[in-house]
Amino acid sequence: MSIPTSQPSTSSTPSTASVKRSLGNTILVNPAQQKNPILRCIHNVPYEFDDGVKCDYVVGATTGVLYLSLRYHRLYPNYIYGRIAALSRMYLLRVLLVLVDIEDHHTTLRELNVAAITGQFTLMLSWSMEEAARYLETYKVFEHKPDDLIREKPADDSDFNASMTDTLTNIRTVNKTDALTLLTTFGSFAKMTQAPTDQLGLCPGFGELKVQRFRQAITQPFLIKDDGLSKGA
Amino acid sequence: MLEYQQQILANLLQQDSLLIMSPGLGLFSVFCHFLQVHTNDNHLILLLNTTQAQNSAIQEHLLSQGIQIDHGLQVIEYDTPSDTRAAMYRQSGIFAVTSQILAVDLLLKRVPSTLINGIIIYNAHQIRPNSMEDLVLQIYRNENEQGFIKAFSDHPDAFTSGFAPLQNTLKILQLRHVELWPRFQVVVAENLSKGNEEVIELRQPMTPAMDKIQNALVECMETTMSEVRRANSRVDVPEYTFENALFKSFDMVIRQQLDPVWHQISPDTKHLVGDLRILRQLIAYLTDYDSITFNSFIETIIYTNSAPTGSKARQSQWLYLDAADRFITAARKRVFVKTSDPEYQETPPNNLVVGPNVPKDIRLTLEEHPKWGLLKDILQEIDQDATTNTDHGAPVLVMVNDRRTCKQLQEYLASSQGFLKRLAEHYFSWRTTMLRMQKKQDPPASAASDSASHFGNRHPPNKRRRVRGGSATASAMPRTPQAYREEMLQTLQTLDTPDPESDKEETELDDIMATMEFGDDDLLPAFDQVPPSSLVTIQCYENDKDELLLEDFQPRYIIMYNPDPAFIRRVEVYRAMNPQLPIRVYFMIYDNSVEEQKYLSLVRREKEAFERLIREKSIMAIPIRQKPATSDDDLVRKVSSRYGGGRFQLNTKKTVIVDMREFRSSLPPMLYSQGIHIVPCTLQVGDYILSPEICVERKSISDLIQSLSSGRLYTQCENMKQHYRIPILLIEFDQAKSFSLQNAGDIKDNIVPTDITSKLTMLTLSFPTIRIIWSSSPQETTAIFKELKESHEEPDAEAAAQVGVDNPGQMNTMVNATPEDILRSMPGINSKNYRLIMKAVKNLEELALTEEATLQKLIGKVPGHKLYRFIHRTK
Repeated sequence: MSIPTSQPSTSSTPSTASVKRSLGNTILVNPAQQKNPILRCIHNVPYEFDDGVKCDYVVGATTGVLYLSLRYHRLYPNYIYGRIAALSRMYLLRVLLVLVDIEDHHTTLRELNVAAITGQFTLMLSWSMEEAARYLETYKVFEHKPDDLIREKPADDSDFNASMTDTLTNIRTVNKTDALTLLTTFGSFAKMTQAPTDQLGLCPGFGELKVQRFRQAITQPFLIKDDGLSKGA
Repeated sequence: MLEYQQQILANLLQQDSLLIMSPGLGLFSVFCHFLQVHTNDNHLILLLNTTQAQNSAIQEHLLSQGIQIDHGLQVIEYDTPSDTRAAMYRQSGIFAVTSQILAVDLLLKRVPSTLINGIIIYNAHQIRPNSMEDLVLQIYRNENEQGFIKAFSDHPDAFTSGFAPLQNTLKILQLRHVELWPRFQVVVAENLSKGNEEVIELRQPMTPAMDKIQNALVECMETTMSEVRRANSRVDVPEYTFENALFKSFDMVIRQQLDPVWHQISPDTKHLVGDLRILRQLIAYLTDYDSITFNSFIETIIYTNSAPTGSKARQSQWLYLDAADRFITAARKRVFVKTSDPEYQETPPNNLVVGPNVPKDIRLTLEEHPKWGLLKDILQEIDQDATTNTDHGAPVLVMVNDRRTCKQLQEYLASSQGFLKRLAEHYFSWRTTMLRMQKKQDPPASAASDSASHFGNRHPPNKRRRVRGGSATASAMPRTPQAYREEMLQTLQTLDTPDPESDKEETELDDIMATMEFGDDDLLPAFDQVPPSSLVTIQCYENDKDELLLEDFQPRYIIMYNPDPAFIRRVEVYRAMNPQLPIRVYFMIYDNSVEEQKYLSLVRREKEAFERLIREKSIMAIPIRQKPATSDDDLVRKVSSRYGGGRFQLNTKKTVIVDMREFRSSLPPMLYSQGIHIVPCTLQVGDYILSPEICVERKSISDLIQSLSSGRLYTQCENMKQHYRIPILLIEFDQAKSFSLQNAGDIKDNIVPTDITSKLTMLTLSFPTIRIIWSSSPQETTAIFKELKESHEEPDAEAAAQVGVDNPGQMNTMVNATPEDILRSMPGINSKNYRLIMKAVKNLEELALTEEATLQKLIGKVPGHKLYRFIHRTK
C-alpha cells in the first residue's frame, strides 16, 4: 500500500481555489476548524480549507467527520446536537470523532454514546490529538482500500508448525511449548487425539489439569442438542 | 466425627454462614454430613461450584453411608437436556449444577425458585463479584427469602488479597456470618493432641547436580524479577518477593499490578512475566520429574524459544544468562555426558545396552533421585518391622504430589534399572523426532550432511564463529538458543547419517511405544515386587478424597514422599479418630531445597491468613442485604409522560435478550442487579438484543483485537447488518484496566494498516451503518443499555432466536466453544463450512478418524484434502 507522504499544506491555499474542487487525496477542512490543534498532527495526508464543507472534515467522497473535544462539550453542551441534526441526511458514513480530554468522562460519554446512535453517527473515541489526527488520516487513506485486511481468510497452511501451534493453543492452559511437546511426542494431530490419558500425563509440562482440559476439548461434542432450548425462549 | 467437627456441623445447621477451615481438618466430611442430614425428606437443595471429582467423591461417600442413589447427590451436566432438568428439579433432591446452567434455568423459571430449600456453595474462595454464582444468589434471594445459603472453603489464604476480601465475599454470598476454624483453635488443638506421636523426619540432601541446577534457576528467576521491576515501577509492592514467586498466586499479584496497563506495557515485559511462570515450573519439576524428562522439557523450551519461523518470536532473556547455561549443561549431564565434557573419562562406558537411537559417542549417566533410594530403604525397614512386630502385614501408604510421581515410583520400585533405561530409550527416539522436525524447518540444514558446511550456509559468518567458539570452550561464554540448537544437532550427528531404511526406523519407534505400553500394564500391581507381608499403596494428594482414603486403607505406616501441610492435618485427624492404632509417619523432604522453602512458607501463609481473617471479622461492617432497586424505577416509568396521557404500560419491565454464550461474562449479572429483566436465549446473530431493531455484539479489548485480525468480527457485522436496522458494536473496556485503545507513545509516524485503530477505521468504512458504543466498564454498559431502551420497544425472544437460523435444527443446539475454536483454526476450514463439519462429525476425536473422502464430500475437494493433510501429517 502506498501512503501519500506529501508535506502538509500549512495554510489554506487561495491559489488553488480556482483549481477544480476534486477530493483527490486531500482532506477538506471546514474553515471553522482553522485553530484546531489536531490539524498540526495531520502529516501523512494533505488537507485544505473549504467553505462549502458542512461537517468539520471531509475524509472521503461519502465520509464526513464531526469533531468534538469533551472539554468543549462541557462548556457548550448543546453545540453538538445542533451539528448532528444539521447533518442528518448527508454522507454515507457520518463519524463523530471525540477527543477524550477530561478525567471525569462517564456521564458525558454515556450521553454521547446514546446521542450518536439516535443521530445515526458512528462514534470514534481518541485519547490524544495524535490519535484523533491519525483517525482522520486513516479514513482518507483507506477510502478506496479493499477490506481484505479484516475479512475472514482461510487458515494459513504454509507453515505447518505455526498453524498446529495456533490450533492447539485454543485450549486454555496449553502454550507454545506444550504444543511442541505434543507434536514431537505423538507425531500428528490424529495421534494426539487417540493418545490415552496416562500417556498424555507423561509429557513434560502436562499436569493433571492440562491433560483433563486437552481430553475434554478433544472428546466434547461440537454441538449439544437440546429440544427444550427454543421452548424456553 | 471429632468433637470440633460436630460443633461446626451444629453451628452450620443453626445459621446461614460461610465456613472457613484450615486445610486438612475435615471440611469434606463436615460437608458430607451436612448433606446427609438433608437426604431424608423431600428437600430441593442445589450444590454449586463443585468439581467433577468432588461430585463423584460425594456420591461415593453418601452411598457408603447407606443412602440410596436417588436420595443422594444427582449431577446435572452440561448435556442434560433442559426438559429433563426441569423434571428433575420438580422431583426434588440434592443436585450439583453448574452455576451457568442454574442461572439460565432460574431466569427461564425452570426451577421453582420458591420451593428451593437451600443453596450450598463449595470452594467459596473462588466466588467473584458479578460471576454466575453472584447472579444465581441474587435471583434466589429476590424470589425466595426462606431458604438457606451455606458456603464452604478450606483455602484461608485466598481471602487475603485485595481490599476487604472477606466482607466482599460475604456480600456476594448474601451472608452475614462467618465461621473460622484454624488449626490453632482451642477445641481443634485439644482434639488433635490426643493422638500418639511417632513421626520420623528425613531430610535428604540433593545431589550436587541438582543443587547446581536449583541455584542457577533461582538466579535466573531473581534476574528476571528485577528486570520486570526495572521496566515497571508498578510491580514494586511488598508482595513482590522471591518467596512469593514460588507460588502460582504470584501471577495474580503481578497481574493485579499490571492489569490496569496490561495492553499498553511492552511485549518484553509480558514475555518476562511469562518467563517467570516457566522458571517456576522448572524449579518445581526439578524435584518432581526424573532427570530424563526434566532434560527433555528444557530442550523443548529451548527449541520453542529458538524457532526460526516466527521472526516476531521473542526469545526469553534468561536463556542468555550465565546461570541458564549452567543449569542447562548440568541438566544434560544428569542424563549423558559427551566426549568434550571433563566427566567423560570418569563415567563408565554404556553398560546398559539401549535402543538404536542412542548415539555411540556419549555415555549415559542417568541420575536417580536420591529420594527413590531413600524410599526403598524405608520400605525395607518397614518390612522387617512388620514381620517382627505383627503377625499379619500392615498396610503402607505412600503419598506423593501427582499421578506422574505415582507412576514413577511404581515403576522404579518394580525395577530400578529398567525404569530409567526405558525412559532413556524413549527420550532418544523422541529426540530424533525433534531433530527431524528442526531439519524440516531449515531446508539448507537437511540438504547438507556435513555439519561444518551446513552451519556455514545458515548463518552469517560472525555467528558461525561464535558457535564454533562456544562448543570449543564449553561453558566459557553464555550462548544463544540458536547455539544450543546447533549443539543438539551436533550431538546427534551420528544419527544424521543418511538412514537407508527410514521406514524400518518408524516401525521400530512404534515397537518401542508398544513395549512401553505393555510394560506399564505389566507393572501396575507394584506390590508384587515387595514382600507380601506388607501392602504398599502409592497415592497422590487429592484434597477431599484423601479423607476417605485414610479411613478406607487404615494404614499403619504413612510415608509422605512430598510434603503437604494439609495431609499432615489429615493424618492428625485420622490418628485422633483411631487412637488404638499405632501409626508411624515418615516425612521426606529435600534438605535446603526450594521444595522445603515452599512447604515452610505454605504453613506460615496459612497462619497469617487466619490472623488477618480474624482481624477483619472483628472490624468489618456486616453487609445487609440490599433490596432490589427496581420498584421506584418502575413507578417513574409508569407515569412517564412519554406515554401519551400517562397511559399505563402493561409490561413495564425492561427486557434484554442475552445470548447463552454471554453467560460467561460479567455483564448479565450486572444487568440483572440493575433491575433489567434478562432472557437467556441461543442467538445466531449478536450477543444482546435490546429491541426488535437493536442488536449488540459485545467485544472486550482482547476479543476486539483477536476478532478483527481473524476476520470473525467482519462476518458478525455482516450478519447483524443483514438482520437488524441498528447494528451496534459494543467495545467494552475493563474497569480495572486503562480506558484507551493505545498509548500516546505507541502512535507511530506513519499509518500502520495492522494497528487496531486502522482496522477499526476500515470496519466502519465497510459498514457505515454499524454504530459503536464505547464503554469504560460493564457498569457503564448497563447504564447505556438502560438509556437506549427508554425510547425503544421491548424485544421478542422467539423472533430473536430465529434470526439467522439456516435450518430448524440449529435453534435447538448449543455449541461448545473450545472444540469449535480448534476446528475453525484448522486449514481448509472457513466461516462457511465449519458448521457442516460440526453437524456431521461428533467431536475432534471422531474427526481424526474420518476418511479423507468423507471430508471432501462434506466441504469440497481442496479444503477436504487440506484438512485431512493437516490432521494426519506427521512432522
